[in-house]
Amino acid sequence: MIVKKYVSLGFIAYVFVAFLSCKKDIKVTPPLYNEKPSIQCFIEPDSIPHLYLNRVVPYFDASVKKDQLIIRDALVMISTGSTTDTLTLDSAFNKLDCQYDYFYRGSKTISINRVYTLSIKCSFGSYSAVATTDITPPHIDSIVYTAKFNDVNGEHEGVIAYFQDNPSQENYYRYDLLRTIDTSTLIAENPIVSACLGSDSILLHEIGRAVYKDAGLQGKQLIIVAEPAFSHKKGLSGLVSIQAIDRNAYIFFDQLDRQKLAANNPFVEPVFILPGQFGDKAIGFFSAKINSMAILFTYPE
Amino acid sequence: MKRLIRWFVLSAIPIQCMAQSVHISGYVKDSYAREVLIGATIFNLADSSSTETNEYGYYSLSIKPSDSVRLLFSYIGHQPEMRKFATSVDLRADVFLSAGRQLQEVSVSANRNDDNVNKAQTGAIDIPINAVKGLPALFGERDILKIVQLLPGVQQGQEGTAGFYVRGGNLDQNLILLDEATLYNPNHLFGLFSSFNVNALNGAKLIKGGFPAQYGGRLSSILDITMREGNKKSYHTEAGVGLLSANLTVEGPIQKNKSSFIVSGRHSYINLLLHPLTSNTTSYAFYDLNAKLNYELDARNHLFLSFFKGSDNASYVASNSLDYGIKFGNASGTLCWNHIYGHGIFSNTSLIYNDYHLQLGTTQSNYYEALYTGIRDINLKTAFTAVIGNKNTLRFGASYTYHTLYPGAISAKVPKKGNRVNVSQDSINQQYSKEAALYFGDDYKASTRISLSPGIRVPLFIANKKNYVFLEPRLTAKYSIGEHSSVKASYTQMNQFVHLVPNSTASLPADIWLSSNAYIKPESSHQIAVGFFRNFLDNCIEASVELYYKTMDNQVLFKEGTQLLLNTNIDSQLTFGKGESYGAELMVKKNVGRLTGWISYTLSKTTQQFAALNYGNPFPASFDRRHNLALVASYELTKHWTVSADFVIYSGKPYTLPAGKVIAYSGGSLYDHYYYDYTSRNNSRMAVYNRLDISASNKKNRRIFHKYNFEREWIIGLYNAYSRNNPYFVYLSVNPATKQPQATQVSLLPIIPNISYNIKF
Repeated sequence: MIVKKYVSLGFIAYVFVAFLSCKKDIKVTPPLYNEKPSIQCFIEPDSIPHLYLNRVVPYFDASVKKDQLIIRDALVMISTGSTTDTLTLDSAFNKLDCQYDYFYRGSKTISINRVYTLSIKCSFGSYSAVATTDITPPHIDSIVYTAKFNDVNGEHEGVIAYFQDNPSQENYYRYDLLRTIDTSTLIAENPIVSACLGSDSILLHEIGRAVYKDAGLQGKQLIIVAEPAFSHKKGLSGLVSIQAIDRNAYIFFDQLDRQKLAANNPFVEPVFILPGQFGDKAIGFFSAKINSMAILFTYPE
Repeated sequence: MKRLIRWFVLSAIPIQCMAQSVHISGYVKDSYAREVLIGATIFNLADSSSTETNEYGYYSLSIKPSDSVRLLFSYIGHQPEMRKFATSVDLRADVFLSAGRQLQEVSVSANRNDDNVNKAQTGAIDIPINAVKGLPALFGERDILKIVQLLPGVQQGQEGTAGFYVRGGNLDQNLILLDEATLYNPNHLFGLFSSFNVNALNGAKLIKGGFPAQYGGRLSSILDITMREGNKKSYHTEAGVGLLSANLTVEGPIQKNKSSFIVSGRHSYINLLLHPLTSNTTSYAFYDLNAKLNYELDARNHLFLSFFKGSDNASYVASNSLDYGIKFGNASGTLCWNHIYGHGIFSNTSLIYNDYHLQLGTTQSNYYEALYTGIRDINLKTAFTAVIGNKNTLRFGASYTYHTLYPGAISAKVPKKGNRVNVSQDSINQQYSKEAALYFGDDYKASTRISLSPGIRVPLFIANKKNYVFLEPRLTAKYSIGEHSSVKASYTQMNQFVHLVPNSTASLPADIWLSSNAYIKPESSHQIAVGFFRNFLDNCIEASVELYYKTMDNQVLFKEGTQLLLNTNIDSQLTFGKGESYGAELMVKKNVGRLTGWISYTLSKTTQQFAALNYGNPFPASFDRRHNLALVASYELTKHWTVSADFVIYSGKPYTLPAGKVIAYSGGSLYDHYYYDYTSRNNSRMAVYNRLDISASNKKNRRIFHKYNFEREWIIGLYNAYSRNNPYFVYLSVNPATKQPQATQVSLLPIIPNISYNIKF
């Protein structure tokens, strides 16, 4: 009986060993990569432009901090008509990341219905792009919370925004919730780790990763259901708005969304970021956006 | 009907060819079991002409009427037999060869097969089942597909799987036939070994290029496997137990020397051992069953009924967010009627049914995929072979297949609450299509040095009122340089109407079969190949070098970022492109003696180009491996002991690695603060794969109760003898603290000892 038991256990161990996958961290030869700039800039009527200009570094490069990636020597100008705004390097401390955010800040307010041209000169080269601030903000009809919503991600809670599409133009949208977070907040079920946050709470834009277009639904009521990225407690309030963005931003963020999905989902092919406004010499976007009127929203549970 | 066929044959060939010859035809069989021998050689010593038995063991040789002709019948592993005939009319001659081991390397050269030099066919390799039985076994299971993976021009699929890639073609471009029935997924245990039970097999042939006109519907290879008929003289039983499964084969006569049966089954018992430890969270069960009946109605008519069913059912739940449940299986049935018309005309008419289904639900890293893919075919075909004069062998026929496909899949994030969406056969829109073909080919011996095999195949495909008709010209040519060497060349055009759309990133099977339609055009290929073939030491050693170049159009892949939903129109998620493959294949093979085996080396390059992928630039196919070397050897140490080994080494599999990383500001936390710049698809390679398998077997004849003789065999072995961690897949992650990316390699199969025990009586 004992022999039989040991034989059986040995056999089971053998089968398990046979099927156990073995993992090890490996060093891979990184693909050759020529650094280039990343340019990210939204212009919005009645706001001062902020432009993020960083180096795109090889995938395994040790540079990961924002002060290592910022391109400091750039001449950045945004012009419209005869008016030119030369942006200057600025920074703001980001308590969540526990490091400074670096950006180029303008000094002139963006106007509506104008064509703006971005031009950048830096050690990598010269870049330019155009954006038009002619986007009409949508009107939010209502914001509703649902504890159960079924979509491609299965059943989950959601914040549902009902809003009116502008019938006169092709529009692109994404969700924006301005809310507070602190170290008790979870993201993707993991606690937020920040050495700088302490017991403070900070305001943060929780932006929907998915972007939507109004194709076939122009002028009708549209619905966006956003699955909260950050955890919440009953009674937590925030300001929900819908961002209307231009086509260039839509294409860029749609690719980012699908790339992230592909990176997470082992059943999805990797998504390349295709050359956009800056061709293959730089990656990013220069786009107009405008937010709808914000609606106060309180989580009921 | 007979008149029609004769008219067809006679009108195709000049009358004078017919008038000058008579036919000697019949079956070549094993003298002990009375089973047919496939690929036995019949050599006419008078004029050095030769032929070989077809897949039903039938031969027909045209000779000049003479007083006397001497024919040498030979088959590997059997004693050759010389027969003398004197005839001026057609003659039926069934020949029985006795099995005999050839330990001595000195033997008559005619005893050894020189088909590789003398036949015009290029890119074809016969796989003797005896050779399969002599090679190392994984988990104690001897596997014909594992042997196929060791041949030149064939690339192994994922570690441990039985899938294979031939000359730059995807998995679905291989037509795997078992007694003429198509098997779409002949694997067990996630593909660790195939569902072919070698005890029930008679022979197998892999064709990589220079396809004869009777084959079609796939771009890259034909693996034609024939089941045994069963012993027609006496009853025999073969049984074996291994670590994972047990098998039993019973065969014998129904009516002595006239009809026989063979039934062979295999069943796993993994669950019995797993369940006590795993609380039913992990289970695996598989079985396969082969059966064949044959009946000789009379000297001219022979009926066969064969059946195959294999099934796998597995589930695995792990704590690291990896789980899966998978059910798949094949079933096929073939009813064949062989008829000999006389004058060297042989026909085979078959009615075939096959059914394949795969249902998969799997989770990796909080995402899941549910998939159902299935194909059901009903196929009717008839094939004729006519030997005309001593120069022409005509092959012509027709086939019709009715396909029903069931493709459906969903891939999504695991819901925090509620149930996942399930995909079942009932929830899928079926695809119906019809495939028909006519073909005609001729093996023409222009002279003692030159042979030509021209052929034409005309496939017709109809799906959703969309028709496709093609002309597929085929040509192979051989020029003999002396007795032991030849140069061959071939050109083939092929089309394929059902497609397995691969998911290049998933590590578990997540591919779907789809049918051509108005949107999905048939895949097509053009292949040219040239080769030099040379035998040494009286055909003891065969050597060959082949070069090939192949282009493939209408290749199918999923678009980047495709996330399938149940209501997704899969067609709209596909993208189409072309492929190109070229390479050189070297093989040196020793067939006889105590030491047998082969060395195969392939140097090849396979690329694909899709307008919608990789910025429209060519990229390496996901199964492209530049170098592929295999060494296979088996040595008879003593009368009882045989040791064998195989060693493989090949270039790493390509995968896609991001080249640049970009800091994300707007909503950065949603992207883990970075997104990536990919510069090219499949731009990195996993580590080189290499593995050594060794095995030893001990065979002895025993007697029980002083009366009954039986043969017993112990097999012990090691898979991956030096336990190399070969890459299965590589994944990337970002260290949340350092924000540094890290690559992690996952390996699947370490050293695995195996032992099995077989008896035969």
